[in-house]
Order: sequence, then structure tokens, then C-alpha cells
Amino acid sequence: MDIVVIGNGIAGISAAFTVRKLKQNAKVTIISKEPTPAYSACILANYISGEMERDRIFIKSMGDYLKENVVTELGKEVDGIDIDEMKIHMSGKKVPYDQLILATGSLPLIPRIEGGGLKGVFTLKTIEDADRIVAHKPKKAVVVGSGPIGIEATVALRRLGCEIDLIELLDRILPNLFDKGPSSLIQGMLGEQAVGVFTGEKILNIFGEDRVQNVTTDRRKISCDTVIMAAGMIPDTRLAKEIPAMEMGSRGGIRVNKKMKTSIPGIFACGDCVETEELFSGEERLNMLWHNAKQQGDIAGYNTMGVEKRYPGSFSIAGVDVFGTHAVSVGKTSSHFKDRPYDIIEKFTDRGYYRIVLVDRLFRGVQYIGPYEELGMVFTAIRRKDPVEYILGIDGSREMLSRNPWLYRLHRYLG
Amino acid sequence: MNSIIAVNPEKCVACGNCLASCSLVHEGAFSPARSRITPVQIRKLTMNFPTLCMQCRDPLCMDVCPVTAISRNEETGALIVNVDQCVGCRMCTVVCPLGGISINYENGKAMKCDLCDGDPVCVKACGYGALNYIEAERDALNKRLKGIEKISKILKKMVE
Repeated sequence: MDIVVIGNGIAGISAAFTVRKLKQNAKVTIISKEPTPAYSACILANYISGEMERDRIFIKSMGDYLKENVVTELGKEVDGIDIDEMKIHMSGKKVPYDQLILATGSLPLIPRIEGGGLKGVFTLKTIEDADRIVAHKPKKAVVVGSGPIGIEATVALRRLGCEIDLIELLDRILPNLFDKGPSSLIQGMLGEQAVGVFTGEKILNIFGEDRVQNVTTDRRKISCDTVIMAAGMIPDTRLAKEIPAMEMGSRGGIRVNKKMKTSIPGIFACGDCVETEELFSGEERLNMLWHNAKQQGDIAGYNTMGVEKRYPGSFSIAGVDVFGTHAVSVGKTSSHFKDRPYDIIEKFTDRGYYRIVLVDRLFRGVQYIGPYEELGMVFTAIRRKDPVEYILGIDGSREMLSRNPWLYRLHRYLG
Repeated sequence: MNSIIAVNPEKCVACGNCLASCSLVHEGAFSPARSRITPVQIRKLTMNFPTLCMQCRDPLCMDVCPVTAISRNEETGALIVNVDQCVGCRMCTVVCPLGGISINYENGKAMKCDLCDGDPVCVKACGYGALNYIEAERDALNKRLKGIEKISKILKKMVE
């Protein structure tokens, strides 16, 4: 039984090592275009800033693969997949498979602008990107895009003493994670560290002779020696799209069912490259986050071995560390419900700030700025679809509290 | 089957012995804020609920950790935080439904009950019987399967 996994990120290794856990005598191979053992892309910024040694980024050593007898083909590009012969074409070799798991991840979205190929223009996705940024020693950078990656890059480079200007197309930073109010609080924290933030602004082009010298937006010209493109990610589905029978989702990801099966028998997919049902809304969408990739990888691994686990659905939790202040967003923000009535419970406490979003009296999301520690209560209320009246009703109810004591902690958020 | 600390909230009087012993063993000081077990106290109903990690079978904390700092101790079944690996991102505290994992204010890293490697001090410190350590009987499943095997053989013969 030959199991081949394409991709060495968290989805790929979760799938591969789950297969190995279930079956000792299957041949398990991971193919990756990157030459290193698996690492966490989430903490590249900590390495760039100097807060973390480079070798701490890795979550597997070459020894881990050997110990579990997982064959690795690192630094190898896959040229194509022959689904009739069930073989992967890889650097002149043909690798046979009985079951194939696509965990090809995602790629940075690069706006089509002039000067994008100049020396000093970077994306921040791989360890190679991070190494190149570190070697470049930025002194004055423009960061394009204020999603979590843009914010992390901004904070990391600022910690190195680099001057930063952050350009964001929409009306607020971290637009998918925070409503305007909390977003402004975070913007204030960036401002305190002398980061220039320009919202509602669009990058037009990058100028320079052989290297970046300045950037033009629709409002100004900014001189710089570095540009970090953090304008979003798209699923890496190049290999999947070459297979005519491969069904794709409406958002550009590979369509999979709850067992992570694609439309092609024997081929599974997981991680950033797939579209799945979201846990709370039922929407089929991309949800390119670490924990979704890990869970999907595990489920794909189980199903290749005939253990029919089903993926309950993806969920959104994303956080940033802004110069020591933590901020996190769970579920949906209120801007997601522009056309429907929603309620907000918002509070400044001595611990920080939070905002709970309710729709139809159900918990739909929470945004927290500060040293949060017990948000699991709110997350659980979102998952269980507890109406807010139910939670409010527990105050003083001995019977309810003895059934679920942790509701008391949730009640305090509403108080 | 994991070992587990079973909680009987009816018997808890919030004396704080578990907080004191846990923090003493893990942090070298009586420091309730750095205990891995904490009581939820609802004063007006005089209800106390010792809260700690229940060593989930499908832990969400392990799924969200972006540096794979949480792993399972195969002996006790406890979920263990590797403090050197942990970066203090707090994602684990967002998903735990019980508040069983929290942040150590001293080092900013995640901390949780580790079952004291199989001999939990809070259980010994509790004078009211609110905490009980139930050890995993590793052989329990096998014993039950063997029992079923015998009976199924007998039943098969009866049917034939």
C-alpha cells in the first residue's frame, strides 16, 4: 500500500504521520518542493525579529521522519499527476501511489504592479522568504496589506528598528478580523511605535533601478528599501487544476467532502488548498488557518486507511501579538452581517477590551484585545449555539450551574 | 483510556489547599494564580467547582497550537505543554471549553495540569474528598474483550 502526500506543511505531516500511526507496513512518502523538514509558518515573524532562533521554527527533524519510516522527497517539484496509471511525475521520476493526499497549501497573492520583481520586494510565506528578508537588513520598509501576516511582519521589522509604513486597501487594519472600533485600538498601538498606517489606500507601483527605491500609492510616494507583499493568500491548486475530473469549489479551492475525498477516487486533499464547510455557518469556503489544516490532515490520513472519520467543519480563530499586546478574533465580526440585524456586547475591563457579536441572539464571534485567558467559554457558546438568554438565565440558578459550572465564567462576559 | 482527576464539587469548600500544593510543586511557591487547578466560586449560591484540564481525548488545544508544543504523555495520558517550545500565543486558551489551560504570568507561557506524572498532589492535599485520582487501567479494554471472546464462543456453540 503506497500512500503519497504532496506537501510538507502541517496538513501534509498530519496526514502522513496519522497514516503511519494506523498502519506500520504501508509505504508513506512526503513530496515537497521545499528542501527543509516541516516548520511552522506561523512563527516566521518571531525569527525575523530576532526573538527566536531559526532552529526553533522546525516542528519536525529529519530524524523524526526516519524514526517513523516516512520517506521524504524534499526539494522536488511535482510536474504532474497521472490518475490512470496512478503515478506522480516528479523530477523525471514516476512515483506510484495507491492513495494520494494533496496538501499543497497556499501561495501569496501578488498584486500585478510594476516593479514587483525588483530586489528588495518580498512575500512572507516560507522560511526561504524569512531568510531573504533577514539577509536584506531592511531599514525602511513598506508593508502592503494589513492582515495578520502584514501586521506580524510590521511588528517584527519594527522590533529590528526598521521604519515602517503600512498600506491597507480597506477602511481599517485587520479588516477580516476586527470591526472598526477594535481595529482602531490596534492601529493606535502601531502608531505608538511610530508605524505609519495608511488605510483606504491602494499601492500603484514600485520604483527603483536595480533595487527598490520607492513606492507610489494613489495618495503619496514613500521612499523605502524594502517592500513586503502581504496582500492575501490563494490556494495552491496548480496540480489539481490540471486534472480535468477534479472538482473545484466556488472560491478556488479543491472541493472535498467530509472525509477529505476529492471527486477523484483515491485522491484526498487537506489544508489551505481545500474548501470545506464551515462549522457554524455551513458555508463552503476556504479557511486557511493552522488548526483547520491540522484537523483536515488527520481526517484525510484516517480515511486513506479506511477509518471513516468525518470532518466536523472549519472554524476561524486568528490572533496577533502587537508589541506585546495580544489581540484575537474568533468567528465572525459584525461587518460580516451588514444586511442583518446584530447585537454587540462591548466592554473595557482592567484586563483589556472585548466585543461579542450576536445574531438572532446567538453568539457568532468575539474580538478581544489584551491578555485573554478564558475565551474558551465564548467559543463553546458559539459552537453549542447557546442563545444569550439561556446564559443570562443561569444567574442564580443552582440547577443550571451544577449541570454546567463553566457557564458561570461565560455569564461574566455578559454582565 | 487516560488517567483523570475526578472532581466532586459538592465536597469542595474552596479551602485553597489544591491551589497551594499545585503551585508549590510546579512553581516552588504558594501562588494561587500559578496553580493549574482553580475553583470557580459562585459565592451567592455557595457553590465551588474545582476546574482543571480533563485531558481530552481529542484535544482542541493540541490542534490550535502553532508550534506543536502540546503532546500526550503515553504513560499517564496527560497532555503536556513543552514550555521551551511554547511561544505564549494564547491560542490554546481560546479553545479550551473548561478554562483548563491558562497562562503563567511569570513567563507568559501556557500552563495546565500534567497529573503530576501520575501522582497528583492536589488529590493528596484535598482534605474533603473533592478530588479523586482515577488511574487508567491500561488493560481494561483487553480484559473486557477477552471476556466477550469467551462468551461469544459459547453462544456460537449454542446456536450451532
